[in-house]
Amino acid sequence: MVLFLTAASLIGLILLNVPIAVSVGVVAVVGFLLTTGPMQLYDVAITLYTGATSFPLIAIPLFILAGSLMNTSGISVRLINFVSTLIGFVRGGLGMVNIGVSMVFAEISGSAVADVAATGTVMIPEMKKRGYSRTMAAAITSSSASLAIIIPPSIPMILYGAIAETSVLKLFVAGIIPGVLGGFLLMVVTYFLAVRYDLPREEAFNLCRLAKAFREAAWALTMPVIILGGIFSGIVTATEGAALAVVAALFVGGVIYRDLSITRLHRAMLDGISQTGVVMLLVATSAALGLFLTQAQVPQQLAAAITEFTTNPWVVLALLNILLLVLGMFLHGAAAIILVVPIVMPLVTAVGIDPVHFGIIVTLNLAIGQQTPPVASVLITACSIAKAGIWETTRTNLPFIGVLAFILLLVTYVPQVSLGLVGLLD
Amino acid sequence: MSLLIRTVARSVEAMCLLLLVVLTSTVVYSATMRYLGASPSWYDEVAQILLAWLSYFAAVHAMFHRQHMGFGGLVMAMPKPLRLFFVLFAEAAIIGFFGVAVWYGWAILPIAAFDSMVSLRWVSLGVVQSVIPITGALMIFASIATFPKILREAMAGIDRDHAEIAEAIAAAEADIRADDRKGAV
Repeated sequence: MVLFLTAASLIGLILLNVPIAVSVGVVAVVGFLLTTGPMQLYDVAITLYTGATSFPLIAIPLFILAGSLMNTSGISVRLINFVSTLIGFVRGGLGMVNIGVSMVFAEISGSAVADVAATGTVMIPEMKKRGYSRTMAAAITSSSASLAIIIPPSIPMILYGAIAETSVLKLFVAGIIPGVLGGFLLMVVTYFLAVRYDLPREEAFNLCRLAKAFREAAWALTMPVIILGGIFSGIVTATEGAALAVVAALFVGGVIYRDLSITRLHRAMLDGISQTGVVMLLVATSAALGLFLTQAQVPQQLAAAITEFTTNPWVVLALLNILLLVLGMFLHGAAAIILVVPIVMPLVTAVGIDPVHFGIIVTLNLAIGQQTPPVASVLITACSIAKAGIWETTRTNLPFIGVLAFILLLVTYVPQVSLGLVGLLD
Repeated sequence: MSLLIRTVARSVEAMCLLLLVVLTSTVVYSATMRYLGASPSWYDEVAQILLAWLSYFAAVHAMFHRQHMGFGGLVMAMPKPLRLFFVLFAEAAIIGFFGVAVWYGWAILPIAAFDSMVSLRWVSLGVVQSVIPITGALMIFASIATFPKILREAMAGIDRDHAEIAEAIAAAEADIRADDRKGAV
């Protein structure tokens, strides 16, 4: 009953355009006032503070800043040129370049909108010039950017790791195989569509041009190698890796490429600050709501109610997939993670699902949610750039959404796909 | 009035930039010192406090620019009188919630002041936790200061989500034009 009333009030406030973070806080305050009285509001004030002090979350503003710096300092453009000379000669090559670049860049800066805007404004006009339809250009950009949510470094994964008290490193490693496999399958679909619609190849493969593009992009390419290599090898923690990313982006963008003016640096920092504020306020108010729900024993009661019905992890995963897919259609990715994960974690552990495995499932569901209106900021951004209708793009997007759904089912029912590499860490 | 709003917004922005630089420098310094075998004992606690302060001041900055996540589709589809009612309702919810944060956040400070940080004993927890009432009050200020803009947008039927997307695309396109002028691409 408490869960139902809480969920109903929360959905009501969100639908009435109260900011999600404030909606969450209001429900917590009113919930305490109606159940335990105003004395508990002192705990709410303390929780609002402690909720924003979780150590793993320190990586969030740093990765967000690094992403903003990369978006504004010419690093993305050089990577696009390099990937283009590498695989552009295949039929539908420009679409594949888009997939490769989106997967590297999207979800780094914490704002999917800013990331898609940064890469989409370069790629989509170029694709349209080369004969791709508006909807095809938007669909490829949007689906590949959403898949990137599971490719490290990923802000949603850091959020999940902090909330579920799970290793961020293991989550990063678990996302590699599904992410790369998903990217490959998106390219396969692009190839078949390119053959069907007779889309062009880019310039023929040329070793000299590749070498030149590689030289120009070499510094940009070393960034993911240094950052992810440092984190995966255990040389730096995820938080330190995030700080390393900032230093590397400043060095490469400012010193090597000299594309990072003071104006751009200022704007990148302010973009990063805004995204940090948006995500972290939600984290803090959700901690207050979590306090209310925990005192009302809601997560435990939910776990007991469902395990009474079934303890089969596959059935539970199917139910959770449906819940997350529906939520993903109406909530932004970060909001869905922050609100849902604390409530369902007791259930997940009760039926023996690995929290790392569940983390990849959650983020993949949200990737699909970003493709499905009404709340589909990635799709809407891509459509705005391509000047394509949302619903007609959604129709073109169906094969790509199919790939995401296939990867979700694969990850859900073949845990080794995500956990195989994680096992090597132990 | 607009001078006051601009001054407060700029001060919040400056505070955010300062906190971001200090947090980044702290993590880099600590990682470096860890490799030199002299990991600073205060790192975890100070970094967590910096995160909390950055988070709340950044949230105020985002409020000045009305960037907090929301779902405006339904309200924007309503007739104007209803739209006006719900815009006022959302503002009341924002001010009410941060009013509670200011009131109770302020009330706990004298109790928190009895204790201090573990690694830096001279810093009282009252000071550390004062970020909640301070930024709560700033949130209310930012909400009231930007309300006329929100009201105008709502009456014109402009959804904030779509406005934000348009701003992001415009910024990216401006970057491309600047790069083109420099001949970098």
